[in-house]
Amino acid sequence: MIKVNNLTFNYPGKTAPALLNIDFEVSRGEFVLITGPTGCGKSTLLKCLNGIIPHGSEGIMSGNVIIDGVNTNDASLSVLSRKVGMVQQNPDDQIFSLIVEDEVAFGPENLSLSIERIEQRVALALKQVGMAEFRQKSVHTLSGGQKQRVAIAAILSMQPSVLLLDEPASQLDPMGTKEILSVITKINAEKKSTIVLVEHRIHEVVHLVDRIIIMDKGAVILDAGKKEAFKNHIDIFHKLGLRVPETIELFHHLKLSGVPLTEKEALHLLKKRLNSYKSTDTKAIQDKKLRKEKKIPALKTEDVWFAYEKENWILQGVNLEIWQGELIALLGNNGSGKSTLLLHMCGILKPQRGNVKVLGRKTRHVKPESMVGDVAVVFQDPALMLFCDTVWKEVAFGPENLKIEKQEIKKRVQEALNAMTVEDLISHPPQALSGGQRLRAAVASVLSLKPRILLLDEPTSGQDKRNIVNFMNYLKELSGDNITCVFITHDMETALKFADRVMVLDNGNLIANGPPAALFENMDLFNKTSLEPPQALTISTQLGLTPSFCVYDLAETLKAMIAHV
Amino acid sequence: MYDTKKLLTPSLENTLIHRIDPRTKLIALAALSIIVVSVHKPETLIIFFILTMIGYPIAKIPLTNIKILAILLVLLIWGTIYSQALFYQQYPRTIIFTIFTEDSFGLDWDGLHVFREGIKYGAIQSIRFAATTTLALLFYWTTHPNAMLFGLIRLKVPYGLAFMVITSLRFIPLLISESTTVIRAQKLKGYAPFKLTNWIKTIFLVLVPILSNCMRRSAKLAISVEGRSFKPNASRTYLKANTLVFTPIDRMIITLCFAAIPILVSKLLLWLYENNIFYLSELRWLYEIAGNYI
Repeated sequence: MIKVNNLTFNYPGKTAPALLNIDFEVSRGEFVLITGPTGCGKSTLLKCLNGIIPHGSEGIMSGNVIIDGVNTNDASLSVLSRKVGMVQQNPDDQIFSLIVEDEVAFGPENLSLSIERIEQRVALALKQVGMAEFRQKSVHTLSGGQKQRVAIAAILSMQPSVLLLDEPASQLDPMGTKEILSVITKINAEKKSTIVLVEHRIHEVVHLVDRIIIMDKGAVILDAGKKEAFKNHIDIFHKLGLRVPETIELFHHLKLSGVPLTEKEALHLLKKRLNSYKSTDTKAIQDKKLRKEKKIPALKTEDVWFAYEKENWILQGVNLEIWQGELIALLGNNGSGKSTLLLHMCGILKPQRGNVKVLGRKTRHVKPESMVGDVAVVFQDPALMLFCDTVWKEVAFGPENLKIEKQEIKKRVQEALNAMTVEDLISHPPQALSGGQRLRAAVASVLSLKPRILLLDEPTSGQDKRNIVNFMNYLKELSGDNITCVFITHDMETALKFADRVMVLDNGNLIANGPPAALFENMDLFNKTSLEPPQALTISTQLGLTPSFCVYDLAETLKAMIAHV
Repeated sequence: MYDTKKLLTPSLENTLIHRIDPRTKLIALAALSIIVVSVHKPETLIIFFILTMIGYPIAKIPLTNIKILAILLVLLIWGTIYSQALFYQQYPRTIIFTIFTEDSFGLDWDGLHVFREGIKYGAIQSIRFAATTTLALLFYWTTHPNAMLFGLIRLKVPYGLAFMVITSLRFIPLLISESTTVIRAQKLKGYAPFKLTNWIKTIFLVLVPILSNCMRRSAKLAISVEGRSFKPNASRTYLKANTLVFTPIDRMIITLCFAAIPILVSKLLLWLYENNIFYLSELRWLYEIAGNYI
């Protein structure tokens, strides 16, 4: 179905090729996962597969891409669009109609199909993604997951032989991610389309795919069946900082044979291995050393209520207290009130009832500008925080507004640049940087203000594991320097691994607030919020052990148990 | 605090105004623009302005949208009157009061005065702007973008151009919401975006991230539409195109729109007469109506 032959591509003005001598084939109905660190060329490869390269993008391409017998060099985009369709990361960037039906009909209309055939295709595509009953709804009333399902339906209505998915769940909350994964599972089960999925979150999709292709620096460095990839090449995943499913990681640590891709498989194999062991339970969980309790409050909300529209409460009596130097993860589905709460913490929004106190000061009558130096925010889209010509000017922008002495500004800028490892980019225009670099530049631009509280709205979304770990380690360091950090995330693993405390919002209510370990005492929480418990937790509880949320802790416990068998 | 995206998204009600054919709406807007430019009598202009407002309760436009319209109109009317009052250049002009005298600041200049004729002229101009803005927003809030697209196509606007217009309208709410975020980010970096001396700088500081994001977004949108076989000038079919049908109400509105022609012609004839270019004694009744009422 797909044949890529010696494909090389260079973007204009770049010396290093974005793609280098790529060769692979994908059979009809196969489901292939392409992964690799940020900037490895995955998205460029997808553009080659759907013909945007060479037809709609500048650069030099050599080699061939053949889709269902058609060479992309020879066919127009219009012809290729019947063969291959692509779903992008953010549904808001690709949907432009107001009504679901109009969006899904757009492709078949362009193909000049008759009204009857358009009608049939729209109905079928919406049924495939489970959105048939939303046909006449306004796109604006849909959740992120539903919008992305509409985007997939808009491609399916073209009835392509190949479906390309470019991190389709990276911008979605846990509920949206679940929806998309179930749609992909369903499409895959029908085996009508060949699917190529680009994704960082390998652990969430690997059980669905047939094969894994790993790319690095524009080249394919591994092309293998999924079990083969994890059995014999796990070192490549580790070397590139790619996420391996916890079940695989666990078996690797235990040096056990078997490549369990799901919790069920792992449990089955482990139970067989441990059936002769009568456990009195070992304390598996090594609670993170809880910080020495610091009683200096940084942020406090007292019965905070807030609504954008009358009586439509986004926050409903939120009470919380955050101590100085704490690293807090704020979780919850879209619309649960996380971003609204964050905007209260920096004084941009004022509570309609209750109070917010920042470093002891009520925000109600304080302008956000007057909190500069105390609180800094990194918004979800860091590009919107970058306004200057160069990275240096960007990082100096804040301190200059505060009329700080020049020597001090220089010192602060240098420190912030070093901390975010963007010191080599000082003369680059911030808007021309890659997504990860833009995030680091945006964080540097607020760190130079020396804030005592740092608020971050989904700083890890769309980042690869290595970038996430580096970034979170830096937040840990800041927290060690007594800077309070609050970050919104949908990434449970990151929240558990790095946060001192996890808070969960649901419909404007704070429904959980405590150290990560305590969160799992209430398993209902996961059902209510669609948050996925880590595989280590599910396995440990299913095996009757003390709940463990870290795969390494669980591995240690199991090692001891296996030694007794 | 308003939800910008919601405010700037057309509603999907089924009222009389919503049901008006988009072509009729475009024709009505064009006719109103001609009429308000032709009419000079403040009383007549006010009548047209009030007529445009009648559509709002009929269309069940939400109160928050009407508040936004009111804010816009106040700013528009105040801004136009204020600027004309200060900078009215025609004669005769009567000074009501003086802000700076001719020798203020040790300069030899005309000073800064408020002129009576400027206020009157500004008021007339502002009602013209207000009437067209009110009608344009009413139509924007009550017309489905796809219906507007079909309307433009049926009015023989090339498909590529019509698609561009409608797609850019679709992204206006997003641009406004992003501008709000940019200004918030500036404030939180100690910058005062609305300080009088910062205005020009602020425009650039907002435009850089907004335009950069636009470029990125348009590249993604291009992939999305091209990947669905979009061709700007090619023939295509439409799932709903045939639903555009003129109803008796549309015909009535379009007929009324033809009133723009006699208004324009009568004002033109009056102007020719007043400038001694063309005069017909048989048209004295028309000159009288055009001079006294239009």
